[in-house]
Amino acid sequence: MAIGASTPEHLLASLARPAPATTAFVEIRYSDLLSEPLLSRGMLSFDAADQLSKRVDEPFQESTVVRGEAVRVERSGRKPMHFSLKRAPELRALLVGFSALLSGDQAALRRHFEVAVSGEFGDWQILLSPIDARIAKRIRSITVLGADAAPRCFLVDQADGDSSLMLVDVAAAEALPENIAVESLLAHCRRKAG
Amino acid sequence: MPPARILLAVWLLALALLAIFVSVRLQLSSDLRLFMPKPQNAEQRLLIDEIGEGPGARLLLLAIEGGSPQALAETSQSLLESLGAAPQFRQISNGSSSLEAFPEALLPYRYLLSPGFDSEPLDAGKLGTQLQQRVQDLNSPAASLLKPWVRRDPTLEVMQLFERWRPQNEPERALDVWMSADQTRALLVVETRAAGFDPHQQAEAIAAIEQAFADTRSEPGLRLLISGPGAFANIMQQRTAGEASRLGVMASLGMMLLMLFAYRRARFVLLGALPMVSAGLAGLAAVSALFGDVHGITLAFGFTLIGVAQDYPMHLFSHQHRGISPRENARALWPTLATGVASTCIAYLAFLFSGVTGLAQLACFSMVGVAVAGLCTRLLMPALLGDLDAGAADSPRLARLLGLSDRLPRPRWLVPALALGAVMALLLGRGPLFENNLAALTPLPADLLQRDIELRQQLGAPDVRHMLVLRDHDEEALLQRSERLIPDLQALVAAGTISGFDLAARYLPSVATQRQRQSRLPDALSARLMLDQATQGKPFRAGIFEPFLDDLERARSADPLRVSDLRDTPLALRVDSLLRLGGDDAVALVSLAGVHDTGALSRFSARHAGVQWLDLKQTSEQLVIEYRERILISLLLAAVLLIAVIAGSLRAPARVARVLLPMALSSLLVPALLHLVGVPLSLFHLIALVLAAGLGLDYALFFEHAESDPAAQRRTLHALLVCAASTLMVFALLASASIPVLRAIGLTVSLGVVCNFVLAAMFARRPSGVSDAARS
Repeated sequence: MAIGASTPEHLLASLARPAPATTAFVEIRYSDLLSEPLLSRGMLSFDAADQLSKRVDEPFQESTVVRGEAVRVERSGRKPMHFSLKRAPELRALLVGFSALLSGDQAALRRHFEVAVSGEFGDWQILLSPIDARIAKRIRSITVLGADAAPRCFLVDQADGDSSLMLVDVAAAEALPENIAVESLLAHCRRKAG
Repeated sequence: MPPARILLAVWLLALALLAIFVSVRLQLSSDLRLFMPKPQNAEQRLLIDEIGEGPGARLLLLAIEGGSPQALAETSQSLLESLGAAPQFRQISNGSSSLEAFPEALLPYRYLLSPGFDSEPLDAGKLGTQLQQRVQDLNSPAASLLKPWVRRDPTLEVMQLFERWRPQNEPERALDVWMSADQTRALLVVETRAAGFDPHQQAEAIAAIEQAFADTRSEPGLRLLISGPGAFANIMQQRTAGEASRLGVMASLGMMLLMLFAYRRARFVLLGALPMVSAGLAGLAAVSALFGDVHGITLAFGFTLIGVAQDYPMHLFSHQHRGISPRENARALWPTLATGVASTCIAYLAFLFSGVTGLAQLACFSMVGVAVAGLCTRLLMPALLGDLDAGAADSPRLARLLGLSDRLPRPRWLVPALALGAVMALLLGRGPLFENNLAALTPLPADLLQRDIELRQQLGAPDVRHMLVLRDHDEEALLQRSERLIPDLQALVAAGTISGFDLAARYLPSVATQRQRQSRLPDALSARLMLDQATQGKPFRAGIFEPFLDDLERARSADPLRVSDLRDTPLALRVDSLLRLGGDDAVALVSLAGVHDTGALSRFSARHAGVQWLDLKQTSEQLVIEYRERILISLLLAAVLLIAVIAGSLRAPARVARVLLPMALSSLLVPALLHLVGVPLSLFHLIALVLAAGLGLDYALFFEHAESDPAAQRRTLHALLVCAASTLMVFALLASASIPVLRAIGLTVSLGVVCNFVLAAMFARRPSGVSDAARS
């Protein structure tokens, strides 16, 4: 089924999940400071509209808790860091996007992002471009790639050229391709599920 | 034109010229230090500096309240951004530690300022561990915060410095900004460029803050509180002006009604105002000519203090009747009037030499005013009076009152009993007799002080009571000594004697320490080798750490930082408040927080040569006590002088005693009454007592002066009743004021007027029909 003019709403509605929603994730970070991408694995849980926990298990242990505007990052052997979402716009964009998608609140999604949906129901992608200038200064876009009623990957493109790709749910459990360059992984994300 | 008209025209013209002179010359000041005593030693000087010009006096504490924590934090941040560019401010902080605030030029100095590599020097192993942490940082949600620093500062030394420099008792941070613990207030600190007591510029700065707040607040319900010396000066000026003019209008109206009731002619009312207006203008002209600027308090309260001058024309009016020409009337009253004027002036002389500018101004104003009013009454008034008759002698009511007063019992034991009672009350009453709190001298309403204390606590400002003081000949010597003190101070914290401390060396190490750190930094070649070794096996792109190597090399070769290099940096605020340079006497302060054990502190200071423990509360109380003692001694001298003047004027010892007794007894009774109701006596009560004594002396002089002729007695009683009633009305109004000084003066003088009048009527007046000869 091709996604026509009337179906983005249908797609977005089908993504809604009741909180709390928990998923394993694999995250790959690409930075101009790094000679190779960094890969980490862990659990992500979306507890309520403004509450998110991210736990990294590999290759090091780290836990991040977002409660409202406050972020707390704790890594074994180091003093916890506290900062606000304002200073971590990519985290905010991710949280706002997540929470709007999972709660099925399309109005909220469109308040924060320009939403462009493309592809087919079995292999779709939603391009979210932040409307808030402060966020846009740091985040170029968030792309959600998925199949059927489940997202598979979130790609966050930062304004400085760095990016991170997060594979969730089924995609996190699948074996990764040998090549973890961003193009190769995006192709992996688009592979039609099951 | 009749001569009286010409005289009146000339008089009014002279008043107009004086008014013009005053309005051109008069500079209003609201520097509250004008009412503080002169410091007598180094500690007291430090205290007064701290109160006046120290950075503390330039600080305004801001609190935003009335909204959600988000709204508070947002507004705090936008207020910070909006005020950061304003020219009125040197510093503004809201707790958001923005690393961007670290001046670019100082960045390489982080390797000289930070003790990070003191115990183990920077080497490949240490750098390697740090780089591994950075890899993890780049893979974490904090990446966007830290990434901008990785190339230049891979060990995050700047962050550690910021961490280190945070105030030890900093307020809690929520949403990146300082907030009260319950998150109902966002807190900010602003340092103005203007000194704390420069009222005009403080008012401008406050207006700028309020404007910026109105423009940036994210919700209309948000409120802004501003506290601090500058805000107080501003509020006091507004309140004082508002209250003084409101009370002034009420008092003038009341006075007019009273004069109309007493003399039943509008002409008396208008003429009666002339000496008072002349006194006020002459007093102001004298103060502005001698002192340059006039304190708002002098202006507002000077007019109430010369209220005694209003009495002079009343005596003339009440004694005026058809049987005597105004000139003869004035001449007959003059010896009594002149004695009154002279004794009032003598009383104020005590304040002229008190060493407190504000009091000297008040004294100068009052003395000139009273003298001018007396001379006007004697020399100018009679020509304007014409053939008016106050009709006081014909009043049956006054006659009845006189009869009543004659029949009052005057037991011999009454005076010693009252005096003894008053002394007993003063000695045995509960609570402190005197107010030793320096803050009570600055006439601030208690609610403002309470709010200031609350904000200071929430902002975690250090204990303002205790500090350690080091003195030396220059900056470097002080910093070196301070550095050596740090381990011992840390031991004090560990022992629980204090909970924290702050000193300039925490921010700026001595040149010697900086040189030592320089000598341990690797040279360019070793640094490159160290980096190569440390990056081995880590996923960093080659060549990205060039900025780090550049900074290391710059830090190694730079001239060490000194206090003067810190100007206009965030560090200057801290360092300036803890290090006073200037001349040969450089002073370093160690501020202490949470002092639990003053005994241990005093032993600490005894163990460390040249480290002086300063208890500011004790110092300020000592200052107030010495100050009061000086004033009490001047008052004693004034009293002796007064007795001499009265004795010289009245000659007969019995008459002198009759005149002085009511005033002396009242001056005991009023403080005893105040003490009994639990009011600690402050400087302002003393001023008011002197004023009441001056009034009482006048009452006694006139009662005593009156001849035995019943008509003359009725005229005297009439005059004194009008005088006492008008004074009582004005000061009872003052006693209702919201400003503590006004209340203190109002209450004391009202009590004093009643005591003095009753006692003078009982003991100074000769009963009707008793001749002079019979009494002496």
